[in-house]
Amino acid sequence: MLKKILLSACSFALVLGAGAQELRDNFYVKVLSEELDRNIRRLRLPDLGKPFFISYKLRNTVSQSLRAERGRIVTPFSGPSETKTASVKLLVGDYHRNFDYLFNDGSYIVLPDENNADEFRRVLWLETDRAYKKTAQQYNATMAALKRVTVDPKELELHDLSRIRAEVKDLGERPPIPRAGIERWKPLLEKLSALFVAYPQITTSSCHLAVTHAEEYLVSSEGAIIRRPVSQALLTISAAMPGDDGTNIFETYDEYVTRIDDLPDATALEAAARGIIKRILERDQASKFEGAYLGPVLFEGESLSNLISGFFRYSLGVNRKSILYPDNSTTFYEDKLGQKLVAADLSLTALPRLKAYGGRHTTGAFDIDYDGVEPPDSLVLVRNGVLKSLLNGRTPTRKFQEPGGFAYGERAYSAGVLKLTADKVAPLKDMKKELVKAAKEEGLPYAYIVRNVNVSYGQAPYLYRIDTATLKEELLTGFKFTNLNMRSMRRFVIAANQLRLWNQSFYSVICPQSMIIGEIELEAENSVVKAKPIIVTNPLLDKKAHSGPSGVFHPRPAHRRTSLEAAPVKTRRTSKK
Amino acid sequence: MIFNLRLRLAAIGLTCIIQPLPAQDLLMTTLTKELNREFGQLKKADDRLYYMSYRVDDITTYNIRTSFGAVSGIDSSRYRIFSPSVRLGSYQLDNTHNAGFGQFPGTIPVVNDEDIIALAVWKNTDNAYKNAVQAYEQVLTNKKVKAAEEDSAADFSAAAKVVYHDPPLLYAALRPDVDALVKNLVAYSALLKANPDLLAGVANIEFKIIRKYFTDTDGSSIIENSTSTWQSVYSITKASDGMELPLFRMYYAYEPQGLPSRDSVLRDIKEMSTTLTALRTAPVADPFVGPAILSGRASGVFFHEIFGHRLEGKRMKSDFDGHTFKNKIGSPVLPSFLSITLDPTLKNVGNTEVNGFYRYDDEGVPAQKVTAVEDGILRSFLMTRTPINGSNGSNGHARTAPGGIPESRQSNLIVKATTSKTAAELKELLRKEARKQGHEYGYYFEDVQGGFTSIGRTMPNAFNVMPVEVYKVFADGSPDQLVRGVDLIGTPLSMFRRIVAADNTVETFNGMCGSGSGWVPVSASSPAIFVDLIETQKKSKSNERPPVLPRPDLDDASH
Repeated sequence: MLKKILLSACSFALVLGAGAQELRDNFYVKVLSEELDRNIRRLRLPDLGKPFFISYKLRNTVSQSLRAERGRIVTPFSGPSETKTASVKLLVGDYHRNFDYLFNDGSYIVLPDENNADEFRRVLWLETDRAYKKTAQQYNATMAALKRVTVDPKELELHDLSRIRAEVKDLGERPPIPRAGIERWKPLLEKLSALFVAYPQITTSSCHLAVTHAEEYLVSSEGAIIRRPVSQALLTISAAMPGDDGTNIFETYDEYVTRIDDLPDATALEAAARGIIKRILERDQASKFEGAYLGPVLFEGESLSNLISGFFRYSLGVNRKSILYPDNSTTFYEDKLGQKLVAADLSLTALPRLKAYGGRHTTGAFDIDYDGVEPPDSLVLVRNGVLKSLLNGRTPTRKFQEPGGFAYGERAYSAGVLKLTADKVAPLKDMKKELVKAAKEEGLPYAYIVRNVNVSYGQAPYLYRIDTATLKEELLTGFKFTNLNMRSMRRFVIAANQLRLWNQSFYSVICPQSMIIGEIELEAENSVVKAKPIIVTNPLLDKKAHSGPSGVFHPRPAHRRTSLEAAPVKTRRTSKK
Repeated sequence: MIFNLRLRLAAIGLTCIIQPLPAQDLLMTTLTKELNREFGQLKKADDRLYYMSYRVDDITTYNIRTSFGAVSGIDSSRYRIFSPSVRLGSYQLDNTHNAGFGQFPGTIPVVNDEDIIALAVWKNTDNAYKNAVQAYEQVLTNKKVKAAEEDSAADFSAAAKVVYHDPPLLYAALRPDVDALVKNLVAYSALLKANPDLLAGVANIEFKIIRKYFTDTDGSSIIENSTSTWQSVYSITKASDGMELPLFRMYYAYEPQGLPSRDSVLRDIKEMSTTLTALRTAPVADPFVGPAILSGRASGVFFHEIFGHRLEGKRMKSDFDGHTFKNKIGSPVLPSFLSITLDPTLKNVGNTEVNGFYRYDDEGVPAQKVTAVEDGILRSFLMTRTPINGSNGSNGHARTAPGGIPESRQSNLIVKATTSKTAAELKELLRKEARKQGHEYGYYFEDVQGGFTSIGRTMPNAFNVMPVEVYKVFADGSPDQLVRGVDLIGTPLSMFRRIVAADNTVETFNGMCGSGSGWVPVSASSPAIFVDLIETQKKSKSNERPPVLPRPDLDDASH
């Protein structure tokens, strides 16, 4: 038995060894390693510090996109396009003091299409040389600047870069682009985009498919050698029409997936396109919000995932305090650990390695972070409303001295997959009732629902008002949220008992399908400036008018306005609180 | 939209852009129809509107880039830039009055669909109209609050209606032999790699196919095709003092087949590579005032910068322009042995294909040869449809980059000398003049990378020609010495007087000229000239040390 175990252990080690050797023999790894090796050994100017750390990142990307408008493909060339870029990180000093967290020039270099070792190394050579001279200059200047300030000794004790166990890992090559590429999507994109043709008042519309497949390499002087695959496809259906009052009524549908085959089927996409058309037409006729509102609001579907992403995606990372300059604009959540952040019924967990949920792939999952550190399977960020932990990378702070594995760029962190759960839940079908109940408790005649609309920068273009007496819904525009921020989540009321995955660009949110938040403030949108409507009549409407009536659409009479004078005011129904 | 050809070259070629021939005419039909519809409705709404035009540049490009013998990239793109022009007011005074900026170009999808094209045109025209209204109000206000301008000519003039349609482009037939071009470019840049002194060595090609559309409310309808090929070879080295030393070789032809042979380009590159090595250790030249010879190419750039830009009529409408020659028609401005023409109707100067050819300018006016200087006497300016006092009517020199407002721009500039000398005689003149002025040497400017000039009134009206290959020519007949770090500077009027002689060999500099209306293709052809007094200054330079480590392919320690 023991012999068997030993044998299998040996074969496992052999397999691992073979994999690592294969990775080391990879063209890109070889080129990066060779250039890195001579630079870390020999790059030095007289009387100037030498680099103690160099890492090279290389991204080899194939992308392809296709765009259709009004039943036609408008992309002149839809073939795949390959790009290779690299970036150099070089540090002077030592792990304790190198000021890594203060500087990042963000520069990258474009590598040749052809896998030519000399040429790759020449480009890396020049960039490394540039990075060394600049970093050494910055290091000396910052050390000099440090002499004129008094720094809290505890901060001064912190290392600037934490040490890691360098990984040698091959997580896979670039996923292949299907032989047919995205060509086979042409007929469907044409068909979807042709749905807008029957609505000549919709003057902008398109269906766009973009596929990106890449492999990312990291080679460092610490011994890390990593390759990981990255892939994402995005299908966007968007449309816009000029409203009668000059506003641009814009609707968009985004579907992010990790592989093109995960995209919804034709029926679902057609429904999405028809939904856009329906909402645009409804919004053109919608009443305007008037007055103000403070009370419960039900956020449904994508709206809720957008809200959660907007609140937490970029805020729950550690921030290192500068030892050179005062910083009064950054919120240091590290100082709030153990404090209540959101309602006690809510918990947030980072699940960076979660590849699939509910039968769908997550776009945010990763097995190794930007710095080459493996993340944990999960990390509780907020438990029962209390902040428990933060996302971090290789920059130590007082409470996070070890690398966390959440680096997503230079001093940017990502949970990859963020899961929000609620203790207080109700069946999805009862959420509207719960909303009405909550509104009635506050004596409000109306409540509001933000339904499946993109909430970006804390604002949504339309919502539904629900009459608490009749339960009748009405679509409204012309409003804005005020004071909608992470603190709003302290006024959590109840969430649907079913969770769902929402994919965004290299980020995923798993959250209840809907949620009621109390004390949401709404005000009438008070912008006094709007674009003038287009003066000349819509050419498609003109054409339609001349070619006889259509069964689908009856054009409004063409407006005849003088130059830039005010457009005639259309009487609209208004809505009061 | 950029498409990487390398991956799909064999598989699909460029089938996507090979449109059926009638489809190319659909764009013009739709533009004209939409122009008339827009003009009709806008005119009813605003009777100040008096003229509109639409321009579309339908551009296809092929790019191949190589570096030190490796293929850096191969791609192709196709796009359409839409430039509407809207004029409010009257021919005498309109919204374009002294406006160099304010054009808001749009794009039109590359698709043969009348509705998609019409929608794009409609949205962009509205934007252009609203901008025109705002600009016109500003012009009227300026007239009220500011003193009368020096130039009282009208803002626009009538032009004859033109209908000219080039045949539809046969894109498939124009598709270059990418494989053959790649092979050549790889060989060119690989040759540079052989020189250990060089930090970079690239050889690129850009082949452009353009179909230009112009239609206006006067009834003109023009479709003009053109192609251009730029092959460039570039390399750079660095002196130990940090000075970056680049050299270029540029080759222009209408189509790739017209480029010089592979052997002749390889010879050029070999010579360039040798010069670069020599430049690394060449002495830095000190500022100098004395005699010099400008080679034909250097002289072409010199005349383009210093003289040509001062012939551009439209800019003279502005009170901010230097008006160097504005009131000098009929007066001597150059030595009497020199004449200058600008001729966009030429496709070749001698055996060289030139970059400034076109049939119609960007205001729909036929291209015309302009004799700017005849035997030293100023005869004419380069005119658009915007007159200036003393010069009326366009001579077909309204030009712009796609999306810009047409300005007076140069085309093919040709300098001719009625009396000329051989190159050796010119050099002897230089030596003699150096001796006379008490100098050990004069300068020979062999090649330039370009130049610039100020033509306004705020800054000194100076020019700077940037040579990249300069030699000291010693008065005592010692061998010429390569030097580095020299810029040729001066002020135009004093410089023109110092041109003493020209040689009998015309050289051409093909290039792109950047000015108010963007980058336009131009050429400048000239004999070498001898100037008895020029001024040089030190070139600005980097103080970055050369790379610490040797180039990787030359680093024995790393292999």
